[in-house]
Amino acid sequence: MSDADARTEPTSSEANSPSGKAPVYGILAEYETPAGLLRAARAVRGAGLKRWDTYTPYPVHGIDLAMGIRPTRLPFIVLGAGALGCLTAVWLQWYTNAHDFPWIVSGKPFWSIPATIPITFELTVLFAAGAALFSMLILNGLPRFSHPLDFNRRFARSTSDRFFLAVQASDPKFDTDALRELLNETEPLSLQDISEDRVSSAALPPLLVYGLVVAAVAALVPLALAAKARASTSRETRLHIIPDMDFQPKMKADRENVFFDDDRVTRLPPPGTVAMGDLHADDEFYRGRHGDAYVTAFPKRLRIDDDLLHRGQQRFGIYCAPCHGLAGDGDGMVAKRAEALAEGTWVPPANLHQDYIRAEPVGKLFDTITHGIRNMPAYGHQIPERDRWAIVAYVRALQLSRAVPIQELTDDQRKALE
Amino acid sequence: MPPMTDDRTRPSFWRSLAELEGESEFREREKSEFSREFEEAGDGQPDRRRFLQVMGASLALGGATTACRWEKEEVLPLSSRPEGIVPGEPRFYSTSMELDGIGTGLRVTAVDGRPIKVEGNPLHPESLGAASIYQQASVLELYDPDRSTDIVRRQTGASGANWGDFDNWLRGAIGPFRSRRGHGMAVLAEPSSSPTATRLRRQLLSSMPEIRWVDWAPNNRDHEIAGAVRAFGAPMRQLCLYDEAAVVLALDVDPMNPARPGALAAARALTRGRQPDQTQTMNRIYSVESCFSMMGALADHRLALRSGDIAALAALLDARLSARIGARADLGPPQVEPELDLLRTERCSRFVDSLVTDLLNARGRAVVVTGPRQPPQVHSLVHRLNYLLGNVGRTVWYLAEPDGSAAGPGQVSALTGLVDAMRRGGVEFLCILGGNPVLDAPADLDFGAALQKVPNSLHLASYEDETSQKTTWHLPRAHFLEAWGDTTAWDGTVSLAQPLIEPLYGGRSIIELLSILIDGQAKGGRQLVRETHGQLPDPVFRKALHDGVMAGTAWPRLIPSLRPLGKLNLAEGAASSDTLELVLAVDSNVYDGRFANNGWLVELPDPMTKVTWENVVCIAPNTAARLGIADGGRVHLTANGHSVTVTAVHAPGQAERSVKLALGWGRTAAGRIGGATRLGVPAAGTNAYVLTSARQGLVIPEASLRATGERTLLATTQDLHAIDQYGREATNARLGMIVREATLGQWLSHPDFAKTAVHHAPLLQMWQPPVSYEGHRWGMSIDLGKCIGCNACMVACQAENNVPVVGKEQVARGREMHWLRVDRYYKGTPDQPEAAFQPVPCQQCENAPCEQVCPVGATSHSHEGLNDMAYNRCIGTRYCSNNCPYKVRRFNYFNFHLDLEKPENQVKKMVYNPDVTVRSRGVMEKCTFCVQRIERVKIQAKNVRRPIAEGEIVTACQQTCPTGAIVFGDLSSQQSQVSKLQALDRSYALLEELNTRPRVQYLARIRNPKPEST
Amino acid sequence: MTTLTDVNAFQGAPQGDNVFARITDNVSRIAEVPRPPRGWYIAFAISSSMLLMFLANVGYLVFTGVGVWGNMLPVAWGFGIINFVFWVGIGHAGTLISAILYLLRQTWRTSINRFAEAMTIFAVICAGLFPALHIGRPWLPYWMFPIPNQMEMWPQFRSPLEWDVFAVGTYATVSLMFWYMGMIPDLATFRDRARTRARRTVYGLLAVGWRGSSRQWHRYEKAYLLLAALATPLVLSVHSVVSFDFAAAQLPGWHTTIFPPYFVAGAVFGGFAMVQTLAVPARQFFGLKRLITIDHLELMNKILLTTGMMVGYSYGIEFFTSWYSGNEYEGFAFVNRALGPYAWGYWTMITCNVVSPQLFWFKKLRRNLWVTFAVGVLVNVGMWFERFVIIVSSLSRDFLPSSWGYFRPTAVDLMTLAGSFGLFFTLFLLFCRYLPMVAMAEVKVAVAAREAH
Repeated sequence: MSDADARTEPTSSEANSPSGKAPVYGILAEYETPAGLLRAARAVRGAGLKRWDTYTPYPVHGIDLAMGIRPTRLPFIVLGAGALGCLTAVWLQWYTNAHDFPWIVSGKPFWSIPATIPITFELTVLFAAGAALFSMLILNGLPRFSHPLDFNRRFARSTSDRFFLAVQASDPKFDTDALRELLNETEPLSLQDISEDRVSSAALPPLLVYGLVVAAVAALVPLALAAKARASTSRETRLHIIPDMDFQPKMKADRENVFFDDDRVTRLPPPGTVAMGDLHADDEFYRGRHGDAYVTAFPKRLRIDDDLLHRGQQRFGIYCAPCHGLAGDGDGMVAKRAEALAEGTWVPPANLHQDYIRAEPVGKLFDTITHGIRNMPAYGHQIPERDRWAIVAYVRALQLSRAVPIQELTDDQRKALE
Repeated sequence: MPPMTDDRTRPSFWRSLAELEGESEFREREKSEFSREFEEAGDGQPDRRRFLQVMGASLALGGATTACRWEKEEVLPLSSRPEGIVPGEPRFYSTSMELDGIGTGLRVTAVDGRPIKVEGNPLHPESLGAASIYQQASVLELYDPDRSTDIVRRQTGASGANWGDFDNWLRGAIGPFRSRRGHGMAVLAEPSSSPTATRLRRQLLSSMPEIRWVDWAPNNRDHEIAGAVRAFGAPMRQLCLYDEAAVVLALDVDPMNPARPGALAAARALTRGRQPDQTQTMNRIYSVESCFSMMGALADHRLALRSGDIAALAALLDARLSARIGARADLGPPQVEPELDLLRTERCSRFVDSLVTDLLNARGRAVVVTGPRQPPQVHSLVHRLNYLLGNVGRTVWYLAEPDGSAAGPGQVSALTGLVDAMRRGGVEFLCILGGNPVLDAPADLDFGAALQKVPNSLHLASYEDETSQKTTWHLPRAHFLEAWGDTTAWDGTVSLAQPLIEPLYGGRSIIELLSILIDGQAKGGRQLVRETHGQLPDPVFRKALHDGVMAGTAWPRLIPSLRPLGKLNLAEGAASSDTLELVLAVDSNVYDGRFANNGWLVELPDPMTKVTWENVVCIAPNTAARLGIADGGRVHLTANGHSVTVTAVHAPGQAERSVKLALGWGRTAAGRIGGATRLGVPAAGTNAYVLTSARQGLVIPEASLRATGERTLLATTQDLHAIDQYGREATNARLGMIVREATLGQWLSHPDFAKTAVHHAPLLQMWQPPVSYEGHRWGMSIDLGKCIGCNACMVACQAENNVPVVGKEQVARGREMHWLRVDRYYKGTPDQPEAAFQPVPCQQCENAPCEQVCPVGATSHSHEGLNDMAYNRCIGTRYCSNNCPYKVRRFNYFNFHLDLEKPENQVKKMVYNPDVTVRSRGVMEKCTFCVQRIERVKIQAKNVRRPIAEGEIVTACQQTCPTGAIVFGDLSSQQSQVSKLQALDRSYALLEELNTRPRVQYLARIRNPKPEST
Repeated sequence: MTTLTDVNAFQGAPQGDNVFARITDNVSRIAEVPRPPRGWYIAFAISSSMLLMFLANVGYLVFTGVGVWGNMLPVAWGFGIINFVFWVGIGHAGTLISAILYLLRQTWRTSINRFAEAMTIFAVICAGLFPALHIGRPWLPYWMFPIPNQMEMWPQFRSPLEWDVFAVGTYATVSLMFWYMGMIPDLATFRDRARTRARRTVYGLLAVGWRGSSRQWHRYEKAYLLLAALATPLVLSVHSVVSFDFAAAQLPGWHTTIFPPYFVAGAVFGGFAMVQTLAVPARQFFGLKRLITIDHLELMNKILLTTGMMVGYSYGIEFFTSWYSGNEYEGFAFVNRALGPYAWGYWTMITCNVVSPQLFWFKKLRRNLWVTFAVGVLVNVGMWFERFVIIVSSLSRDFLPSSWGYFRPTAVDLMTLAGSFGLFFTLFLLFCRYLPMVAMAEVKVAVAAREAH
């Protein structure tokens, strides 16, 4: 059984009606041996035809000469691609490791040729090889999934053991009768007209088409999802499959720890303990007290000078002014707002120029800042001792500035008052 | 067990083993390893269950949660923040930890009110700024999920009871005893020198004098005290000023072993005499011991002698010295020279001769010291020797033992008496304060059985341990970091202990419990301590809290008068020449068993054998060969009629015919690490207490050893595989290059020996390095002459850098994670070896071989010369480890933190240092020079625009090193200590011939053996 | 034996009225018969179940951690990298045979080059898997590719591992292209012989419409020649680069300049051995005796003998250099190889790689199928152990004796190795079943040439 033979029975329509409904593609001659084909090729070439070709199961020796095929320019494409690959590799390594993000590695220079040689070589080969394959395909007009010759049963053997020669009707010198004569002299096994491809429009087999469509649609899905994600909002946190080290089993400040009743990581030191540097032996400085009584004079270790007062002014502006007002009159922005809202529970901030406050010992003021009073919160954990004293000093200065005996003023100051 | 018969029973094979040495030995081991390889299908080991149940299935790829979404975190700040507390900022507190009656001052770091790191208190005489492995690891115990969480009452079996119920019960129960002045009631307490505890104890006994109060700890000082009573007629403790000693003789004792009182100070003092750079002189240390100890490794002359034979040597010494010095009427008659063969051996006599001459030359500048293993008579003789040499009053002083603690007949006899009473039913109510007598009381007393006869008993303990399970009440004890207290140092210095955090499980301290016993009033610890020191005004008390020590509370130094001693009974405790002596000792890591559930300590390699996760029988190679016991072979060890099966290890330097086994392992109620029958966790190691007896001390003259023929794979961090002959030769060939050492004489004649030890091509750079390291150049210097191998640095590093515990199976596979390891090398012959220690952190090479091979640049160099690891960038090719000649890199083969997902392990997370990444699975890690500490100081300095002061940055290992062997600093300043040290002529870089340019340099070790001549 | 009877399904004179037809028929029919011989099914059953085992183990590894393998510190590279280098080595003969022999106009290559190339592809697939699996975080291997990212994190191009990524990647791609290009005309033959629509479509797609026009042939031959010319240095470069993983490290036993040529020789050696192990049974089962003749096998045996001696020479010279260098560590590394804990591995390697090929000094043995097959298998084993010795024995004992260790493989290690063979053979059997096993067009050229003269 040879299916090849079985398939080569020419149906009458194909064999004998060249001028059928379909236009003519050309003439196909079949040969048993390469020798026959070579003869025919020389003959056809001699006839000066241009648009013709031979089809063989393997590259037949000498056919190029017989057909007069000019050497291909493929090697130059490959050469160019190789050069491109070489440059790409060198640029890639220079850009990434020496330019964009250089980092110190084993005391080596950021850029040195020897280390780049292997990859440069590999990329050169990769590019060149790719070029070789693909330029071969493209120059050969591949992929092409349908061809008029495919519809000739006998032609199927061209990839097995037969040798064919086909001349296209589109050749200016194409003349059926003359050509048949010419070819008949070369004793072909068969000689037949090939009608123009009937399905060349449907060049792609439907299966492939469906496949491509499905693939194309599938390719759009991720994009669609991304677009949806960008457009919509979600209460869920983002997907995060592999935690790696993004969340570590350690206790970060102010986080949750279900181990304790209050779910807090932060623990308060047990009462009575003394941390290093928290001895604070100097009661006058750290608590503003002498024994139990408030100190009336600033602690000795404090030098009351411009620096301190300026510091105090600055801190006062930051911490106190919002309620007590820049001048300490109790008319800060917060106070005003609260009054405007007429909050029932609002206890207005004290005017620091009231007599009872002027009378208070500095220790008391310090203590008030530290622990707060009425609805004034404690600032002890926010303002270091020295700054608290600076504020106290500044408040004292403010208070003095309001109670200057008239005779202590300079003349123009008096004038300004009057 | 006469070994001769042994030889006969299994003849040629074992002899040939002895002859073929490692060669056949390794074949054996290799076979066994491969065979066990295939039955073991990768995991499913008990140890895996013990530690990394984790691995088994756990579909968590990187670790943590199984949810596929980004975690939501809650932020819960304090509503009102007290003064001086900044979230995430560390605060430091002084406190102190007591171990069997000796207090050590500590500085504890707390972050957000959670203690996370323990350091020594520089002001405390016991610590001098250093901390031992026990103190370093104590913080892990605080957060141990296995700690007992609530009160358990046996009769009812219910664990619902709260302290209120207990107090009511106690008030009722104690009533009848009050009326009977305490008759029928007994207290068994772990020794304590706490002034408060002592005060309360006195109060209790004064109110109920009939109470039988017994102190007990397996690591007790009975012999020492009895010896002192023998010598002085009163309990005295010896205070040795090693730093002023020219010659030190240690008889079977390691003064630097953290289990010994004053260990840290002793280590500091002993090594101070061993840095000849300025003085060109050194002290000389002689050590006679049965088991290779850190002291033996540090010593210039070491003689391996069975503990039982040391009395004879001491007698010989006394005889010789007295003969040379001449009789001293006040000291009584000298010993007569014993006629024993073992003293006639060539080695021994050479040792004694040079020792005698040295001691005579160093009269008044010598120290002779012995340890708890030795019988009282040796202690008394040692006192005599010190008097004879005129050391007393100069290098050796005496302190009167405080009454109450440890005086009287001695703990063992007291305990024996108590147990008798318990058996006779003479004890109706027994309060056990701390300790774990059911485990560690001498086995022949069978304390457990006696305890059953006591109708009412309570046990205050951190864990619901072997004892708790037999008492009628178990009470959770507050960890020392949770409780108020006070302690006394060896020299009498009192220091206060303040809590770092409120008790996690509402436990109570011993003093709090005592206060209830006294008058039924549950007083707070702070109140009790304050009352004890009531005479102090508040500011002084606060200062004492702040500093951690009470200045000037040290006891006066005395020179008691010595009584004449009778002749030593050399037969006592001495083993006959052909029997096998068994030496039991508290373990170097788990102590008497109380730390058996502390992962850091359990996985810490033993200083000498480097074995982790179990205790082994140390046996001298020759003895082992004679008995036919292979390295790593299982053996039956029999003593006092009891027998245990345990693994034997060939330990060079172990005395012939003497074997050592550590106590404290084989716990059945320790926890998920040490072993707990309740949880189905097999015990780690073997319980050696079953071999103890009240009659003998820890040295048992008659023991026998029989090989079972089985072998096990030990989880060792060094010599993981039996080293074959070629390996051994190569090791010996390299030793001189790796650990460079010379005698004092050699060094003086060739000061540059360390630099020239290795011949190599000139170390040139092929190209200009891309950075010149202006600014800081961090570097480290490690003094091999000062390293005593105590491993404190390893635990400190583990605590500071969140280094995981990986479990026995993983260690056996060579996957331990310690960033800093302490290598131990033996030199010389197996029977007379010298040992050297070498701590190896990452060397921070400037030409780091690890960096160039990383395909993703996960490890690269900082501009300060640190070899940084970017954990997040690491994909785990492990190429860096292959190319690291020091093999200091560690790899997370699994997610070693997966167990933290279990709810019961939440509390464990609190021990982690928040400044350090907790590495997940699949990434490489290694020593960073504590970069988080460097950065913290840099930031602080930058904030106030000041330069970083010298010595301001200390790495964890440096900070805790008792001898100051490790020094870290900035090489770019010539003034820094580290650059001065690296400039010394004995400074060298490890494997410098590879031109890796390490930033770590070692100071070659100078030893001071007596020159052959003279 | 059963296989032979099955094989008869393929025996008998190939049909066709001329030699070309017979060649076509002989090769094509293998892929066209409705059902392959039982031998094929048995082989496929075995290999595919091994493949399943492979997948199971890989899953366990990925979910649990690389710790399920035996590698440890200091031996941080265990079976993973051993298998990688082993398979890459196997992957060499294919392209080498095709490319070099093609350039050398060795016509006998035509009978074996096709499935030698196939072997290359499949071996490289196996090889490529292991580096990805052995890393600690197997979900991140893409970090080794220069993908632009907002972190500006790039690969570290000074790392030999990075060179590997490019070398092996390039090699895989180029080999694939070379293989495919060679197959286009034969696929066209299949297409034209196809009787079912499915076959016609599939082969039609694969053949991309090749019609064997002489103008196509002209460019085709040029391109193929160039590909061969490019592939030849590539083959040499790939294993050189792989050897850099070791040569560029400073580990004693790795840090030697002889590695590149030594590795290439080893690769060719191992590759040809694998070709033999596949060719002998293949020609039996698929009745290709006429195409893959005893002479071809003998020629390859000669190559085995030669390369085997090259490898043996390298083993020797390594010892000499290490001794001559006078370097303490180098010296020990090699003493340790031959006499240390892994001596058994070393001597297995020597026996298989150096001793067993010596049989081929005798023509009788060279032409004996059983001997050929046996030696082929032995050499494969030996080459695997070569990598084992280089990697494990060197790593297990490097500079500091304190960190010496002993590597013990786990069951997962072994199952993964076995499983990778399952993957390889599964792919190979599928190839035999569905693709032209012999380059028909090229054979025809050869035949034509023979007849011309």
